[in-house]
Amino acid sequence: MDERLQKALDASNFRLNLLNIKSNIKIKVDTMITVAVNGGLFKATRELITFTKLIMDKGHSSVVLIDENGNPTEIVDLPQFHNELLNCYFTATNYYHNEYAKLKKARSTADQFGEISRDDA
Amino acid sequence: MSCGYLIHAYNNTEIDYGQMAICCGLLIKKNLKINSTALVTVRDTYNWMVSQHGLDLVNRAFDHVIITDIERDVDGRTFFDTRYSKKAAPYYNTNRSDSFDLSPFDETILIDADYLVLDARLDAVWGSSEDIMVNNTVIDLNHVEDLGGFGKRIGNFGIPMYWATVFYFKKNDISRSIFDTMKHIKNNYKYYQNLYDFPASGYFRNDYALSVALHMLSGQVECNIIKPLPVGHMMVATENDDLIWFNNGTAIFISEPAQGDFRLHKINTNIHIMNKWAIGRMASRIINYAIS
Repeated sequence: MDERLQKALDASNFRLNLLNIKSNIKIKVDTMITVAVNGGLFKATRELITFTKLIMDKGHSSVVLIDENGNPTEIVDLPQFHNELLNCYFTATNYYHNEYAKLKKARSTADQFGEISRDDA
Repeated sequence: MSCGYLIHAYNNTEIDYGQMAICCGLLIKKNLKINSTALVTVRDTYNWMVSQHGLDLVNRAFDHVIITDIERDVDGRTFFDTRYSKKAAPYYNTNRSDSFDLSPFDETILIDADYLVLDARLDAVWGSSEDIMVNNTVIDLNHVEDLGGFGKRIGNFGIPMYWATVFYFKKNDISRSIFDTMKHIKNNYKYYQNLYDFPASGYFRNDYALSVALHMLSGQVECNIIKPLPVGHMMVATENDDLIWFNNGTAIFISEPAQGDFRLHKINTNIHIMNKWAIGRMASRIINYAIS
């Protein structure tokens, strides 16, 4: 095969791997922002964090919110819930940032999959 | 309220489901806060597990061991090990419908032995407002949703497909009805296969029985009352994919969507691995990680 074509195909594979790794990181982040409280499931999104802060600023300490499955869920301790949302959000975004930074440095498939050469298990 | 995971494992002539169940049980212990496990198996598989891995490891993986009987006169299934190898073996995993009676827990996640728990998302399930939760969307390693016919529906014009791989249920009348209906479908499988026009796989499929049961008990309409587990899809490594490395909670797969088109994947979230031999080849690494 022509050397330039081979290089282009290698680059294509590298790009595909990169795309898959990024998608998998997003799935992991999606997992990390899931918060369960009182039978309801929530995502620690910027909107929910802001909304709960708004309700607290209005002087409320409990509230009923609609969860990801459409179920009304009573949040008894709103400040604690708000803190949990913030905690999950920042843990997830920091993880995302760190993983993304590693990917930005990767220049080859070997860089992307450094785990194969390590042996921590 | 007791909460825990129920894992079925029945070895056949080719596949060591017991070893997979140990991997699954130990990963649950490693990665989840609520991590009680119950193994449903048969005496010969249990004896094999103990002889191969020792009683200590088996006891470490499972809080409860439930010995049951299974139907031995079952259809065969072809199991693929990548695109290049396949073997036929009996498919004994046909009794998921008994899980309601077998589970020692008030809230149960019924989970396949070939499902690797690599993150903590299932901790969000317990105490849910939902009576049951099950995924009806899967994606493969290349983030494709239609897995060669295993799409969102059973057949092109069929009902929504629900995956029995991971299935949360509370012990109440609603979930009992679902399991009773699954038993009825299992006993009349050919009839329901014709009625619902699902593909003939050659063996009884728990997924199809569950999907039909959920459809029947949803008033035979699509009303979206069955909610998914946290993170709405299930990630799947197909039988064409190979688990080539497992290190410190990260699984490295190689997929081959078209012959000769190899792609690498790094996974550290929960994943269903359809290539059973791939798990077997990495079992010692998975176990070592899980008990570390």
